[in-house]
Amino acid sequence: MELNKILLIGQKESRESLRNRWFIVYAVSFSALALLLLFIGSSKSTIGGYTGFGRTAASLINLILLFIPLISLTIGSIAISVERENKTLPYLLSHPVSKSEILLGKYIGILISIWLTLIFGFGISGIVISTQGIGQGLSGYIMVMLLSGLLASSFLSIGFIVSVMSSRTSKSVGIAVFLWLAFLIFGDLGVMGSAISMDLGPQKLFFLTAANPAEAFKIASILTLSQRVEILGPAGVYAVRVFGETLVFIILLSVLFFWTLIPLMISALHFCYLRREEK
Amino acid sequence: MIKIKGLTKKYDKTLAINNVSFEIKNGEAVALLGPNGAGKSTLVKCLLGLLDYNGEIFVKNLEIRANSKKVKSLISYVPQEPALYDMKTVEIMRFYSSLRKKDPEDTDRILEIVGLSEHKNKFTSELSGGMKQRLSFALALITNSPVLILDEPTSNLDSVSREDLLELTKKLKNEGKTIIFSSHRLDEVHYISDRIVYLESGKLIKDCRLEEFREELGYRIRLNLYLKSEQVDKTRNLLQEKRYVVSTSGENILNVEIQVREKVDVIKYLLQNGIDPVDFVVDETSLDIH
Repeated sequence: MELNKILLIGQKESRESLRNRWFIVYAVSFSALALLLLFIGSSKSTIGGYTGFGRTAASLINLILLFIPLISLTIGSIAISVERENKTLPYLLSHPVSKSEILLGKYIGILISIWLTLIFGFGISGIVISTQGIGQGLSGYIMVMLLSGLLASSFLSIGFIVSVMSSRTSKSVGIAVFLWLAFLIFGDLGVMGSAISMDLGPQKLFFLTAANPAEAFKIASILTLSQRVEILGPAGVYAVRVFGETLVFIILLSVLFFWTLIPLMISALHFCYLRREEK
Repeated sequence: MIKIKGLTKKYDKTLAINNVSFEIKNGEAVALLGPNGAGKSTLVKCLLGLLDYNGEIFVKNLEIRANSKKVKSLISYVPQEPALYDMKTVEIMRFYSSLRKKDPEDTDRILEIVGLSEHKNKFTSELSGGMKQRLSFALALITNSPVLILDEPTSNLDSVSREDLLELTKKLKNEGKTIIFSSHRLDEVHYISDRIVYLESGKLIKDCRLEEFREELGYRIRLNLYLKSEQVDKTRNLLQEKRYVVSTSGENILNVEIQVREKVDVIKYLLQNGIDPVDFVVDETSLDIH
């Protein structure tokens, strides 16, 4: 693999993503809603014990949970399939570039675009908070932003699996939306249902919950922002008491890294070895 | 330069290429000919390493599968339909030249050659079909590879763009590039190619020089006769008596399907029978081998 080719494709991909109208819609909506959340609450008040940056970050968690997986899954799901549909992939492959360089370049390029969206959204809110002179919780705010970046990378990897297996963008977007619902809504319901029907203990319940990258992000963000572990519910309280806050945080980070690396490796395996032909 | 040995490609149960072998010398221009479904595009895709296949393909003694990147750096490709990212013309040129580690500074010169200088800051979505194909050509030029593969590059072009691109291809051939040119149009093939590889149902039917191909296979062309209105019916009857397939494409125009060597015979036959056509055009664009 040649690094300069990966970076070249990444650069092209970032530029194209930032021009994509859906991407712009997502980015502007995310930033606007982040600002709206900031202005809804009074700057002097506290919510759940948070103030300033901390309160804004806490409000942003739910917004991030809706937006970032949706952006990452949909954009990731069409990354390769749109190139198959437009025939640009076989043309690109007629040049001296390998499939692994294309996959990695596209992944890095799109991820950087999503990160820029996050930095933009968090940045605008951060600037507004700073101008109001409320500086508490800056480290937690930055940590939530970094965790959002990791959330984006994990859902982007999942989106890439859809993309490498599909030749039609409409189909890949459909699957991406279904996955978004599965991780964000059905996932929670599934855990609740399993806990009741299988009578799961708090340890199993914690691991079952944390296995979902969206939940892992949520719990890690809450842990970052607040010392009040009861917000995490019984499974979270149990995990913090048994493993300690640091280990729980490391477990949650590992979950997000796992969901970044494993789907990306599956995508690479399918794209480079199992589906070798591009007609 | 290129050696294809026992190339076979199957799509499920369909045999797209059936044990095809031929060689192309350095600086030679070879036309891939054949009707739709003959296997021309499949062969091109095998040459580009886009498809798995049985057999061997060597470019400069390098087997494609084992030396994919090295071989691809020796080949420039112009697809039938331009497959371009929606970027500015100049950006797309720089992207592909950087990918090939070529000097992107050459961009302006090459855009000038293909007549796209004025459009260099336009997005590809703003370009016409002809301009897009010119850009595909420019991308093949900027890579400056010794082998140029063209897959029916003029099929969607207007006559001016077509002539320009053919002229450019001819120039590249004269500069010593090895050219593989897939086409339906015999006039284009005649203009550019030294040799013809004729495929049918995935099989290599003929590998010969163009003149030999015309003589031996006797492909059919269309003779368009422009007649005086009072002579149209008589001409049709005379030709049909001789078992020619005759159709009408306009007022006082008859189209006669003939073998290439029958052109003079038909005109002579009509003159002998009192028909003096106002004009005639030989249409060699459609290929129909018998």
